[in-house]
Amino acid sequence: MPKTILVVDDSVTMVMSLKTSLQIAGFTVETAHDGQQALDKLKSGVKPDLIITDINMPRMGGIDFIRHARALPGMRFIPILALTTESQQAKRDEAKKLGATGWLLKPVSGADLIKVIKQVLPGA
Amino acid sequence: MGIEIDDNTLRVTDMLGVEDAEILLDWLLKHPEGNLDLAGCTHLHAANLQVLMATRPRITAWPEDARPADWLRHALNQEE
Amino acid sequence: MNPLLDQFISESRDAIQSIGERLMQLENTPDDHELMDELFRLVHTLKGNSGLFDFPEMTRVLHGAEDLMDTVRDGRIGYSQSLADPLLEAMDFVSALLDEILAGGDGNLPADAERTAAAVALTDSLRRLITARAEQDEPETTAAEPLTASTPATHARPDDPADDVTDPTTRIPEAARMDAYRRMVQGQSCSWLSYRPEEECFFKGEDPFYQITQLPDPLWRRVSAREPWPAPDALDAYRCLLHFECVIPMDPRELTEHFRYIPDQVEIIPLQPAMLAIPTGETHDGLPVAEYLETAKSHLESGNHDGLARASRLLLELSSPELKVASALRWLLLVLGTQPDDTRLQQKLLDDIRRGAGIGDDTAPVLEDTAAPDADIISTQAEILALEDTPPWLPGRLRAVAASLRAAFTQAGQQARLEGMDEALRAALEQKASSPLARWLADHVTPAPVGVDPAPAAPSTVATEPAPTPATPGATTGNGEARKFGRRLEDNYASPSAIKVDQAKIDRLMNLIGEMIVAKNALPYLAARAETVFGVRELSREIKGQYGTLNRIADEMQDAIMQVRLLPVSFVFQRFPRLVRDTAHKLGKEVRLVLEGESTEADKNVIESLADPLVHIIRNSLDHGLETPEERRAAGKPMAGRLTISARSESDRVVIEIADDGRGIDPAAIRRKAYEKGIIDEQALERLTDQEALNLVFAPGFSTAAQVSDLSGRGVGMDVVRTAVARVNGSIDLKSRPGEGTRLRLSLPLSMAVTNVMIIVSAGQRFGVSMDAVAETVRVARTDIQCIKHQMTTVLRGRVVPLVALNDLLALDEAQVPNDDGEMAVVVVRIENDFLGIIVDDCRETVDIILKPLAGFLGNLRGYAGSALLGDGSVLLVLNPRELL
Repeated sequence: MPKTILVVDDSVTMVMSLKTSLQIAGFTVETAHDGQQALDKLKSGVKPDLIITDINMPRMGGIDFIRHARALPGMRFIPILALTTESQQAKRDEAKKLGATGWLLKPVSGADLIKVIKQVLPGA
Repeated sequence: MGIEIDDNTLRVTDMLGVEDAEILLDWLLKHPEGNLDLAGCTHLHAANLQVLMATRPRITAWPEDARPADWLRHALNQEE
Repeated sequence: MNPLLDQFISESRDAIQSIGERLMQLENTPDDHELMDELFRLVHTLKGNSGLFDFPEMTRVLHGAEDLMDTVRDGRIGYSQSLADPLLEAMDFVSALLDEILAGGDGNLPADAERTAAAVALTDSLRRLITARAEQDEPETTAAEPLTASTPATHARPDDPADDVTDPTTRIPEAARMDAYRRMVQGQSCSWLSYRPEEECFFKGEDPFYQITQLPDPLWRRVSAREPWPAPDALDAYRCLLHFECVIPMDPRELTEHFRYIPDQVEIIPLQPAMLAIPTGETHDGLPVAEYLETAKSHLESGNHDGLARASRLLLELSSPELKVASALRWLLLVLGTQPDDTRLQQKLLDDIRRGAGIGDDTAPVLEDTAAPDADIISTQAEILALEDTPPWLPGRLRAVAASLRAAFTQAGQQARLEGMDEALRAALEQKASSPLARWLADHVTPAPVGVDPAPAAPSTVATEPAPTPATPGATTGNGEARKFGRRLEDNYASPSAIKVDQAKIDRLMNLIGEMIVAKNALPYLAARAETVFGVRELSREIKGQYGTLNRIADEMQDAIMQVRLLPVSFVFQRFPRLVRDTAHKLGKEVRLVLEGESTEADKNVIESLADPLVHIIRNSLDHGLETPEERRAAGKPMAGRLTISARSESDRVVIEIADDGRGIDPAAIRRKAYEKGIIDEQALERLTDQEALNLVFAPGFSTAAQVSDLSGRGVGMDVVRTAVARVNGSIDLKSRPGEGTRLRLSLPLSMAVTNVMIIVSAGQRFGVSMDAVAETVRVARTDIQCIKHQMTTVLRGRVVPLVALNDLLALDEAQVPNDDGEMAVVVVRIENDFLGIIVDDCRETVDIILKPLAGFLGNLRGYAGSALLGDGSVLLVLNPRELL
């Protein structure tokens, strides 16, 4: 059964890039453009196996999204990767503390992306 | 997803996810003499490993996959 | 070009636009944090996206901009105009790169030294602002490391009783240690790993067992609980109590990389062969150890490896394998077999045996420096401590250094010299800095000169810092792949409230509707034929009925597509704040820009055609119209000039006014200049009204400024503006009062798509003339046409109107044909404020047409505005009277 990955980013370019790489690797991809929309998707029954979320987004940013998502039933143990840049160490640490499993450094190459996912998602 | 229960035997078919740990623990508490067949197990989440280490169930078949099998043997038998 | 790049360029353009706007807004509200956050986010996103492609200059500049915005957002430096300038410049740079990428077409940006240099310079200027301002604004807090400030405090590991600080390697069974030793002397890296997942780790999506099983097969491993397991019925499966320890044939750097998300939960020690050669076991008695040591000593000194090995094997056979001496002998044999030249380690093992046997140290050590711990180990640790960076895995690194030192000293039998190291380690961990430990090492240990002895073939420079993951530029999403999956990219997208459509698609829709209108227009012809040719009046009526219905639908469709093409004038206006700001800045003038009616809409082509003329007009206003602050004060005006740009719709036209309260235009000066330039003659100099004089600024070759300014163009005057406006069927009108200001009024059609033209006939052909240009059509008797200096004229309502024959204009060698009453058909067109009569053969009906520009070489025929298809299938050429003359 293909694993489902929820990609949350306000940049259509970034979503498109990640989605393409993930689909090529055989994942099913759900997308959302900010934390609020992602949260709504989770509440409406979308059940991903892994979440990749940007940090800086309008409406609801990644940090708040991770916090809210972890409180949802069924999302307690899901691996969450934060999309950050090299310079955002404070954000990475905060995201990690609030429940992120790890992070991806932008720019994410397709190979790195799959490597990291395979590292945190058993059976991927 | 990865659990089949047959009388007194719990069989793991592929992966034991984190949510499965509660089911496993629950079954082991109810079947302290139950048999555990891990032959088909490809991976088990660490929560399951804890359950096995704390309950020490009877394992009738070890995983066919060498990697989890080696680690499980070390964890449960503590051979040095 | 691949869809991802398309998307990137389009999104980036929007972002750059928004960044410019936000920066402008910030100038008015420099404390608006929300605005600042948004600005940061935009720059951040742009930079992140640029990394998907191989545009190093773009990424570099954006990185600088991002860092600067980050500093501003954190309040470490205040926002000011001097920050806005380089940021705007950076955006201009990126924008230019986007143009270049787009022009290249293949998504590549060939290397260009000049561009690279520009990027470097720009980035430097951004970074200088960060450091200069940060020091200046907050001299006290810069010492703090803002990035690590919020790093979670490392677990108080030094106080953790479970964290035994004794050498962890002694817990590894001898066989595993020997295995590791053998691999290492063959050049393989081995590491000792202790992984204690935090109790809550499952709730962060972690699976420690999965992390562990991904590693290569360990040489030794142990899985334990950090506290005794509770009874099964009291077990909380989701509170992680696991503790993994293992010896892994893996480079410590790779291992650190593997655990990069949880550096505080692992301890990684790079193993070195000598650290492992520690004899373990029970103490012995009754063995002829003294004799053995004597023989061994002489063999070692004479370099007789075989003799040493033989003696050792002999003693090993005599001793029980569990004894410590047996262990030491096994190690000695292993070292002799693999590293026969490592006499230091051999000596050390012999010393172990001596100590174990209780034989005093009176037998002086053979080698002078035997007692010194491995100098390499110590100097390596010192090097590690000297590393300047403070990565998140610093605590792990510090503990690894301490463990290595402990092992080295313990092995040399100098545990006493470790005094104070634990305290130093604790201090280092608390301060998150290497210095306390480094200081201890420097004070207590004078590293022996390196190279006294051939170092063991161990990887002696194992540093624990992992190399930063190299950024891999360039998207792996190849062209083909992206296309292949292109269709699937669309599914599942959250639907935004507006969609972006390629201009070409709208144009196609537009053309199709145009064709439909043409096809529809054929129906009246058909109806006429049904009646006249086939004599079926009933059918003719029905066709007309159907035509009515189709006509209504076509009109609505046309209206709908027009709506799609409508853009607010803000599309053009939004760049004015920046333009005005920069220009005024350069001129040393103060200007207040007032924009009105930005939501007024007009056709995209009309709006776009406005951009350049408006920029020109604004520059003119700022350059020539508005005075310097001093001049204004002297004239009793407010220091800051006022420039108002307003837009409004008036029936089917959009009117744009650009008004300033500057010095105005002096008609006398215009007259004089026009005369000097030979644009008007002496007679006109006196005859011209003030308003007519003002209009001279639109004359080709006229420039009011005494010197051609750097800003408002080089010799390009208002005539260019007028031409550009006229090209979209617009008109321009100038009003000015000296000392009070100038007002330019542009009037443009709301839409260029449908043009109402009058059909005229000349030389047996049909032509169209835009109704916008037609003032009236008249019949003029041939006798009323006079010839003055080869120029035909007539008098219409008391005004002299020059006349031209269309056939002459079109170079058709035919005379115009009058009607039966000897009257000529004349179309009077208005060009600016002059009237001109064009003599044609006949004037016919007016029709709505979709005007298409002439393609190919015909496009150069400026006398034609374009062509259109008529309902009967024929092509109509539409004249452009202005260009014809």
